[in-house]
Amino acid sequence: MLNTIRSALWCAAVCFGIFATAQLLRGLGVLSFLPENDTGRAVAVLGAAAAQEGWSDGLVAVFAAHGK
Amino acid sequence: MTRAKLHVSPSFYIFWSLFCLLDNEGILPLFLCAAVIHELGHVIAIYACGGYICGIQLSAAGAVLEQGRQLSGLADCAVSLAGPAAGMAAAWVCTMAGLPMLAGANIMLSVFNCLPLLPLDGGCALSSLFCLLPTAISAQAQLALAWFSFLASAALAVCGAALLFYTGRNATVLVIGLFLLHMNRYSLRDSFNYGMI
Repeated sequence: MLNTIRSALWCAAVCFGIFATAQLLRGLGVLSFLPENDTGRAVAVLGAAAAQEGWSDGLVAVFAAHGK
Repeated sequence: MTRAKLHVSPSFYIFWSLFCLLDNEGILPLFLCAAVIHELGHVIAIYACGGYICGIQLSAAGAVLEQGRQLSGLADCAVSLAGPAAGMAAAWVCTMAGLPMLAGANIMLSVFNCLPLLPLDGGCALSSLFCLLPTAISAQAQLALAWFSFLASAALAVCGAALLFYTGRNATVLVIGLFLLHMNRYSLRDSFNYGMI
């Protein structure tokens, strides 16, 4: 158990270190040569569609119908 | 309860580093949250079906939950689909809570994992259902699924390369295609484990 916790903490620390280093390098402009991504925009569109198109309202309606 | 052991493959750190480097929009934490929710869905389903987890392996394929007890085909299928189901449920909750970005990340991860390709959850669910067929047909279906997964992963990698070449953006598609190709080497060997990207 102790080994598992130690492995998890070690993994989390390494991952955070990599993430922080990447953020630092990006802040310094060192990573500007890398291609940019549009995943965030796609996520925003999906999230907005979920909120605006009302699929959540539809689900609520389904469950509410069962509750009646 | 058996205590699960954690194994972290060096390929996991390569995978994580690549996504940290390519994440110019700061959405990696969102996907990390979505991935944790997704895996929790699998964990809850495994224990609900009477199984247990003896190990967690983090590799280029994401998290692979190693089960200590083989479940029936239908239970395996349910466990595979529990991850995307948890993601979609979380997306609904996030939408209601006014967190559209987290909802979007959950939807994207869930829909992607439902693709019928090994080692994604959709492919694992199909593979589990094939186990219910007569042995000869099941073997042929598994082989067909493995080949389909390999070819579709190759097609995704080629499309990703073309996208990167023509637009100079979105290298993530190419990276995911290459990781899927790499992981198809393990698809049949790990027939009762569950992969997540």
